[in-house]
Amino acid sequence: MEILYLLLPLSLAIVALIGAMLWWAVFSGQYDDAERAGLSILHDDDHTVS
Amino acid sequence: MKPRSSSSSSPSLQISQSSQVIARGAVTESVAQRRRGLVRLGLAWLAMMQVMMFALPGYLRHEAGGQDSLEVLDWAIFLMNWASLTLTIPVILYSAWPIWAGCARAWSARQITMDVPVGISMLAAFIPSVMATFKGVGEVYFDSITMFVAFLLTARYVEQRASLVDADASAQANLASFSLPLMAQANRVATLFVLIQLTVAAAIGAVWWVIEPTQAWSILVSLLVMSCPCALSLAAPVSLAALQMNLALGEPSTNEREALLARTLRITRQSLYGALAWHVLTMPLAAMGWVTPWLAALSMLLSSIAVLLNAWRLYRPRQAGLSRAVGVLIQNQHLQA
Repeated sequence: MEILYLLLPLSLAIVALIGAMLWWAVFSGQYDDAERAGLSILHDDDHTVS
Repeated sequence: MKPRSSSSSSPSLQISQSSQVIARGAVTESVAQRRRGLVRLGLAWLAMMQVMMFALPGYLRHEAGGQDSLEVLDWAIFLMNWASLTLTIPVILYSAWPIWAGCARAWSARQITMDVPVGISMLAAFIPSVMATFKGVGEVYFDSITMFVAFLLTARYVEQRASLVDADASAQANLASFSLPLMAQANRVATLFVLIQLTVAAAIGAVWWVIEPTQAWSILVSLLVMSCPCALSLAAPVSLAALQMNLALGEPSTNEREALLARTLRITRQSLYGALAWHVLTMPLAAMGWVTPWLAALSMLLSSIAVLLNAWRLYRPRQAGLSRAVGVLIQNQHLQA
């Protein structure tokens, strides 16, 4: 059971890492608009002549 | 997207470019607020899931076997409690920050708002848990606290998003005569409810303290968690947001509009009194000691989801309107090309 001394800090570190990644992803604006990417295909420019 | 000369750029492209500018440069206050809310919510859920795992040995202890295994278990619980405490502190300080701010506002205005019972129950669960962690004996409620905060923030986030839609559709301001009395009614019911719940929780906690002091604190925490009128305070905002959405997208006739208003009123009252009935029904169970604090938090989430789903019934016409809008968009694209 001494393995807990390793596993518990490890799990805390992983949680901290995931939390930091979430923090970065949200504050870099990745969740600001979840619909535009899906609709972007409709906004594509179909002109063949540039 | 292919590179193109500036002369042939379409309006839709300009829109997407300007939105990128918003994402990279100046962030409006509402976007920043939404991001903070999302991070608070996500971190609370993350910590909650981990703390629930750390809490498992504590629940196993009730049915542990011989003396040897009990010793090992107690040692594991001691370690797990410290890990849970580590994760609960950011939840209490960062994720629950809006709740503390709300408590401070309520205090300075000498009012009872929804944040007050939430703040009280968090402290009532957190302080004894910290003491138990340091001493190495006694019950901890870290799992209940993190669940409570995560579920509460989920309900709040949805409510906040709904009211943002509300603000967008402010052209429909003529709804004020309809929505304001409804909100006022919901607030009155919720405030009265909180006052009664807090009083009843204190009274029942005191009775248990006399009869069976070991259980009293857990029951008090359950009752305080249940006194949070989450579902009650969701009922009016989400229904009204659904209504706004319908009016903004559907362009209904006068008759349809009247029918929609009547329906909103019915659904709001249904949610409001349904949530109230749920509280009244579960209260005696908690008073008997059958509802653990984490179960109370779960019950709060379920009643909030029920209220959301009820308001979702109003959204259905909105879905039809949306697919119509997308259809028009596709047709326009074809015409342009």
